[in-house]
Amino acid sequence: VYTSNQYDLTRHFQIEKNRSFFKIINKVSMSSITIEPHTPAVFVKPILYGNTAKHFGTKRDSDGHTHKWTLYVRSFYQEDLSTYISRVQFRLHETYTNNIRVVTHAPFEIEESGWGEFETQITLYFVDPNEKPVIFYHHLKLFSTEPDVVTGKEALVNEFYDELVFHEPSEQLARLLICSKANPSPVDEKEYALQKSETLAKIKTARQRVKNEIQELTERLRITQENIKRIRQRSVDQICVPGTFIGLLNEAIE
Amino acid sequence: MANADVLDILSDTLTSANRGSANKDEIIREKKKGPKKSIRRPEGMKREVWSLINQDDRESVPIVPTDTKSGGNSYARWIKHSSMTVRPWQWTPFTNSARGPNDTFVLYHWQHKLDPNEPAPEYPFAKFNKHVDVPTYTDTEYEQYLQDKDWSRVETDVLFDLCRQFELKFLIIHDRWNNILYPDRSVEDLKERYYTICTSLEYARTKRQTDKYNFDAAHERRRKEQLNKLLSRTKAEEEEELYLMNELKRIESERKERERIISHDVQKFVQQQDPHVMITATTPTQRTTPSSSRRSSINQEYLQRLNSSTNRTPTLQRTTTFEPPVGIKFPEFKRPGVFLRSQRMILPASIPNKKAVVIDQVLKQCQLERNPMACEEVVEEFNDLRSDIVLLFDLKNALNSAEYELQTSLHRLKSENGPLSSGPTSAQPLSSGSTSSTDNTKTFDFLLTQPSTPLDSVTSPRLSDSFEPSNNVRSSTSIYITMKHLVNFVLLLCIAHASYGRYLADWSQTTDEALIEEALKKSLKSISIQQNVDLSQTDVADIACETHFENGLHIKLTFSLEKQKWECALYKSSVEVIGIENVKCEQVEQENPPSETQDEQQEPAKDNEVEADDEAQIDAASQQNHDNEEEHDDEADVQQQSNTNTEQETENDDEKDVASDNNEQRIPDEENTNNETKNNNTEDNQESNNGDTNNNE
Repeated sequence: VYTSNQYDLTRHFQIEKNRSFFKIINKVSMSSITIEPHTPAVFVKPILYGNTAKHFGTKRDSDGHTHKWTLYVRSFYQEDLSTYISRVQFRLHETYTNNIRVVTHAPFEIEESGWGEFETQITLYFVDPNEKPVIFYHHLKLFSTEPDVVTGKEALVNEFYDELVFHEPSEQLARLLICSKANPSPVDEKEYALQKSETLAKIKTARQRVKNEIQELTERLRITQENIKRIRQRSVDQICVPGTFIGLLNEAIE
Repeated sequence: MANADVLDILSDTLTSANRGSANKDEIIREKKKGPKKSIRRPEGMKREVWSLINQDDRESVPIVPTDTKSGGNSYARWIKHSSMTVRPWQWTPFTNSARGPNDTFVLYHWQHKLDPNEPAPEYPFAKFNKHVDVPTYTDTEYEQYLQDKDWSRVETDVLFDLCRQFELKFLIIHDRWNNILYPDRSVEDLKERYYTICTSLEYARTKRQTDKYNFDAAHERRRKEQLNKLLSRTKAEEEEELYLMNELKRIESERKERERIISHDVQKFVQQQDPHVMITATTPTQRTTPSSSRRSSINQEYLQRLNSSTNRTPTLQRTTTFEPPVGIKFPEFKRPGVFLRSQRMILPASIPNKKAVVIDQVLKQCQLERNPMACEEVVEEFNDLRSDIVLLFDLKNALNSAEYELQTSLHRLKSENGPLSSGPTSAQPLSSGSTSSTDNTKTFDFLLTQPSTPLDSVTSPRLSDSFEPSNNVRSSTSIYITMKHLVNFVLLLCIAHASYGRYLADWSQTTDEALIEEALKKSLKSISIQQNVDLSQTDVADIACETHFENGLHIKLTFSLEKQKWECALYKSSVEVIGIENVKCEQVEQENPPSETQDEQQEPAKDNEVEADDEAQIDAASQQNHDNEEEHDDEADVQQQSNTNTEQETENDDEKDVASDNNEQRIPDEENTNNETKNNNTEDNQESNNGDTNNNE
């Protein structure tokens, strides 16, 4: 990036003298900005997304729908997402009318009914138009084997935790990101904290196991290689000892 | 071509004088073209024929060198200048000056008619009559420099005469050599004599060493013999050689492939294990070395690096930019923008499907889901874990290929050992650990039939065991083994081994202290892992150890520990590097059988054992020699946990009862515990006695 700035500099200087003066100053000022090393600004916003689904109890005759579901995106900390998210686009199955649903205000969710599971695409558009929208997928889950859910008493919740990472957002976006910060709901926090610690522990043990096995295998590999070397050495000695005649013959045959 | 035609057509009718309009370029060209005029077509000849003959340098480049006299157009010019009549030929006599000045032999041939005033040309082939200068020596020279014990003066003179006569055509000289008068000389002998004389003379005359007459007689003799052998191969031999060469090529390429895999993975591992080690840029180039000596040096280098990496203290200089371990490079987000954390966990498409499957398998084993919740630490750890898994997979592959390499090297060694079996070159060191092996080839045979992987049932089933062997390079094993001499050899050994090795449960006592101690340590370790109890060696008493060599050294160690008898089976591979590995450890014959469950545990084990041991017992029994003590040992050792009456047999020392007693035993294992306890008690006494006798031995 730096070198291209330099090139631009010289070029401008040559061709457009009058107008370029202003541009040069601009470029110089820009390049002076980029020269300074600075730590990248990173903002992290944890979100939860997913769906809930509840069985009607009966199959609706008109269209065969059996479940009522809600597809949503919300903030982990119960804050207002609309401060930095301008709109959320949910893309449903083609058989739904208007299968691309856009929600422009909080809460960012879609309530619908249906009879089958499918994959949905969720796109988050940000307040800052320069930021590219974030796209991810979520499999809408309706069916479950838990008895409560089957009977229709409890709703099925299929929720995922994820984090939005903002790398070097623009000034205004940064301001927006900083100001909105609320408290997480206790239920959520506890549940996810537990999940996090469990997962982390499991991963750590797995890593330990793998590391041990790696150690073991390396040792064996080393030993085997040593053996190979030894055998090769010995075979070389053996060839030399009985005389060059046989070696010559071998050469001749080759 | 078309241009030339058009120009030609036009140039017939259109000269520069005829042209009306003066083209500036043409005039310039004409002026320049003065000295180098193109030859015009003769009138009688067709245009196409002339264009074939007329060689224009500007047009095409010929592949075959052509005559370049007069711009390549010598033939064209000749045609032009010829008057289109045949040149006269004359039947002229001639002599060949090469035949010598006194030659009067006249031959006739056709020649072009010569001008009468020009002298007759020399016969053109006379210049090819070259002569070789064979040196001559005087008597004094001969006496001074050229004496040789094998050659008399007369012989030497004759030799030189022949050389002069036949122009150093040694084959003819050799043919002409007089076998009757002089001793029989081979072509090499004659040549040798001639060239040594030449060199000596040269040196004597000019006092300078020259390399002009370099002749290595020994080398020549060998070379000719080799060629003779080559010529006299039978068809079958020739085919075999071709086949072997192809095999060799293929094996070499596979070996190179394996080397590449091994070195590649070792390099990756080294990078992974010790980030402090600076990896030099030479590692990638080491993959492409063909010769075996360089290969072993590479391995050495890797081993060195491995060793050094493990030996280095942690106070090494840190590399400022530590690359993530070579496993998987996950997508990093450095550019500004918004991303979802889970996007960092996506497995890159560069991972081949095989590895992705492996990763899933391992994750499943560790009870982890494929995409865990995406917070920062989890993502980091998870990515690292997957990286490690990939690394493990690669290592396993490398290990497999290395082991295979080991086996083939042993094959080779054995095959070289076989035909060249001479005394001093024995492979003792490999099998020095085994007490009862005498045959070198037997150890090799073992190594051929079994991989050198240790059996370790104590640890939980390994993650790496779930990897399927993906080594395609092994396909040539079967073909390799069918080499003729190897097949015979191996078959013979296999038969011998199979027929005798297995049925002689030839357990022999050992008093090898080091072995016993090591075996004991291993057993204790495994037991303590089983029971989560720390045991020390001092708790152990009554140690007895037997060994039996069959595909490796099987060791049976019996000892009592806290009033419980233990029997441990261990195994030591002949490769002698893995060390002793514990196969299983079981409790034997409690003095006070505390619970049913334990007995039940022993029962099914005994069921299995008895079948196998029956034969062994029969054989063992039938082998009974008059030495009672040996009987004791053999039989006591053969029965592992089976509650047999053989103890009583030995006490009775009655051969006739053996068969009947054996029969009785077979009914056996539904025996009730009372019988068991009784036998156990007697056996215990026996065991302790044995223990004493063993210790005394």
